[in-house]
Amino acid sequence: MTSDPLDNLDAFYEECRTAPLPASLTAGPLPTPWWLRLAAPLGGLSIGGLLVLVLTTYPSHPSESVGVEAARALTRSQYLAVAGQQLPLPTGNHAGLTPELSTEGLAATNPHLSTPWERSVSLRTVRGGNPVEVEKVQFCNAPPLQPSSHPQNGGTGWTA
Amino acid sequence: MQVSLTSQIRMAVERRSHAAVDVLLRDARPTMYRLALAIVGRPDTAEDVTQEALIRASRSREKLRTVAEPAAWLRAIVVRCALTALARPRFDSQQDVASDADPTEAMAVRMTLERLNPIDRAVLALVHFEGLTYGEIALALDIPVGTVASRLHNAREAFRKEWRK
Repeated sequence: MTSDPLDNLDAFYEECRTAPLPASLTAGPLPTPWWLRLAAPLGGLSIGGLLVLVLTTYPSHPSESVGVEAARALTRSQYLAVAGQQLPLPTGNHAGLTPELSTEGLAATNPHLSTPWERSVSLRTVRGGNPVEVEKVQFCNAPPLQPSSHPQNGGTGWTA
Repeated sequence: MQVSLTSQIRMAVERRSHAAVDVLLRDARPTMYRLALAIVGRPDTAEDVTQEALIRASRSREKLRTVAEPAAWLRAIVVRCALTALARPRFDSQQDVASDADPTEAMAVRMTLERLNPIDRAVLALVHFEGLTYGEIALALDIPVGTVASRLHNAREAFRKEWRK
């Protein structure tokens, strides 16, 4: 220990400089699966050629922050499965997951993007009877979206 | 329909530019991650921040292709993502940055940093970790240059005060 606390700060930053990179960030060129960092602790997820990872949260309203953060906890503690058009969420009172949080469905938000890894869909949940977008789900190496499956086109979800 | 030569050239340039952006984003990952780690202090959170920053950068790749200082632009994105991450409550416990090396001192520093406000943490990282100039810090934090000195002074004093607690 030194007399000026800031010296300790510098030592901490030096450790940051030499900190090992996570495997997810040492992969090859995009879009190679640095997304796998989330899949790995969750046991990996590859169903029908799809890799699905919950990445980020986009609260639609500040009052939904509890639900948003609860859903965010899923990224670390829960295994999300994709089967056909459904993206079922685990039920019950898991860590950070409120019981009333349930999956309504998927809505393709930007299917126009050219490269698969940029393609994402929104996972919406129901809180207080209203659908709330809480997570953006990224598909890696996903096949093209089928327009007929888009909810706005009368479909119920998203299909490979 | 026949594609004109001009269009072909433009498309070729576009492809090269996109490839260059991919290389830039790939090569920037370590720098982005370590800056994120210096600000947020926790590897898992730093990884989240880096991923989020890469997503944002990639979605703004048109800007990335034309921005004068790509590194500064990416740095600003990392800082914004880090500040956002620090504003969120955490649900899970995470590993410390240097649990294998010197857990006591590393944890003490990290815990001290965690008692600071996010802006102070960012300022300290940008100065002591990145070694940026005031102008660069102002750009990264989107604040006036004239306020950087006082922000840094406040952040240092806050750290010293919290460290001695």
